Amino acid sequence: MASPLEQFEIKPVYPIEVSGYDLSFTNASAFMIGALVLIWLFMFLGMRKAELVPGRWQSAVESIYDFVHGMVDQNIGPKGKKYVPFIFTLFMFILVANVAGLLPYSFTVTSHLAVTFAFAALIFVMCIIIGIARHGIHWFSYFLPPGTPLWLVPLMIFIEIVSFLSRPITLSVRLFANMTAGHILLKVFAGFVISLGLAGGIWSVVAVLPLIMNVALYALELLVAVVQAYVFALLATIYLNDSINLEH
Amino acid sequence: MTAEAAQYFGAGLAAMGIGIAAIGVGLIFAFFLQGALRNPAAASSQQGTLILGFAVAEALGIFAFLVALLLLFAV
Amino acid sequence: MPKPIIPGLLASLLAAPAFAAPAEEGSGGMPQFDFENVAASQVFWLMISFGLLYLLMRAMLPKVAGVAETRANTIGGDLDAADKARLDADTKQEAYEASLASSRARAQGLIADAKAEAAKANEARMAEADKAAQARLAAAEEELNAAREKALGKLDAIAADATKDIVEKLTGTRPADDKAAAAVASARV
Repeated sequence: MASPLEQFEIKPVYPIEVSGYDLSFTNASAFMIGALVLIWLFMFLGMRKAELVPGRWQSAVESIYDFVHGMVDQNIGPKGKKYVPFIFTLFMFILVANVAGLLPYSFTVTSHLAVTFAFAALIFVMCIIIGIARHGIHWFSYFLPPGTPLWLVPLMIFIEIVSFLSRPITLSVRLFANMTAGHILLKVFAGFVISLGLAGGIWSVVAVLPLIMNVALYALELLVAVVQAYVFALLATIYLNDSINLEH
Repeated sequence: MTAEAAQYFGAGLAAMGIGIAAIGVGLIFAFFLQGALRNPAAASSQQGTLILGFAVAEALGIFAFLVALLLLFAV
Repeated sequence: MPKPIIPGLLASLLAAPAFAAPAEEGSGGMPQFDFENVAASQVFWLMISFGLLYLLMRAMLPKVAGVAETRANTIGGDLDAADKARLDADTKQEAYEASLASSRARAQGLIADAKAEAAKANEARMAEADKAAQARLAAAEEELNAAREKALGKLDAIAADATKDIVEKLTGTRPADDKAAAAVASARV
């Protein structure tokens, strides 16, 4: 029987190699491009007419936009308007990748640490660049919360720096681990269904139990897929806010 | 104890951390619900904070999970 | 029967593919941790697809925001227009009511005028009729007076005759006419 980890395997479709780097077009790439096309179609077909009184599709597009816009507005404020497209793209890409990954035989782009870490590193670098561009050297005062007693200063700076540096790790590992764990769990329970069903006799009847469990887990994974996309986008917004609006 | 056995042992120990993080996540939702039932009008405005707290608490459980995974598959 | 179930389940659990995985592949079962073979192509294609998507969304989102803004403006404008129309209707109603009140007042005035005129005409006619009646009354009185005078004149003559008769019967001689008349006149106080 196939391993539950087989679903995470990268299979090259069209090998490409550039200066020693393996940049093959793989199944992961196919799902990334698929997500791109899917989101573009969703947006394009929804906003094709851009009517004053929206149809169902258009209101779906608009409500997602309103959702992201509201999130950015609430966390960053008016200065965040510039970053709405970025957060929107991030949210939609992760959401579509997560949900598409739940389809049978599909590949989950976000279940790879390389991908989630690339996102997290992008946000991390953006935070530093925006922070320094906006506040200059003053931005480093972020690492010293105001009102710290003098004797606590070294410790606080150390803690703040560690928590700042751990952001990309938590951000990427959270998404990766949620997706990976959920998919492994689904596959393991599916494996139970198969092996119990093939065992024959009373075991074939017992096989219904993991099947029910699998259906329930699938619903949970659907929820997790949406919540993790939201959490990722929300945390990206909050991290950007720390760089845009320096509170002290 | 062989190295492989130690690997599995460590993975099992690390997996316990996930359960402890689950307590934290449960506490977050429990207290949110408690507050939300006392003042339902303010509940919806704190939804983002709730998810953020959940995410931060869950992150630590995920670290434990990651350690377990690394021990099982990567070491 | 129930006895072998739990060990059986445990056995199948342990035989489940997840636990067999590390044994299957030599160096780390999870493809996710196999960064050397996996990371470069994924990050490369992620950069392409995410970057492209970002550019697309940057081009498309203003349209979405624009539609929302247009809608808000339209709704706001419609509400304003409705408000204005309501205000307009209110002023029109007020004007209508005012004109109604004024025309009612005018009608009232007309009625009063007509009433007064009619009363005046009535009075005049009444006065005329009164005068005529007065005149007729006067004429009738005069006639009555004349008749009485005449009757009184005749009464004198009759009294004189009666006197002459009475005197003749008493004395046997008939007094002269003028004597009798004088006597009657003296007797009449």
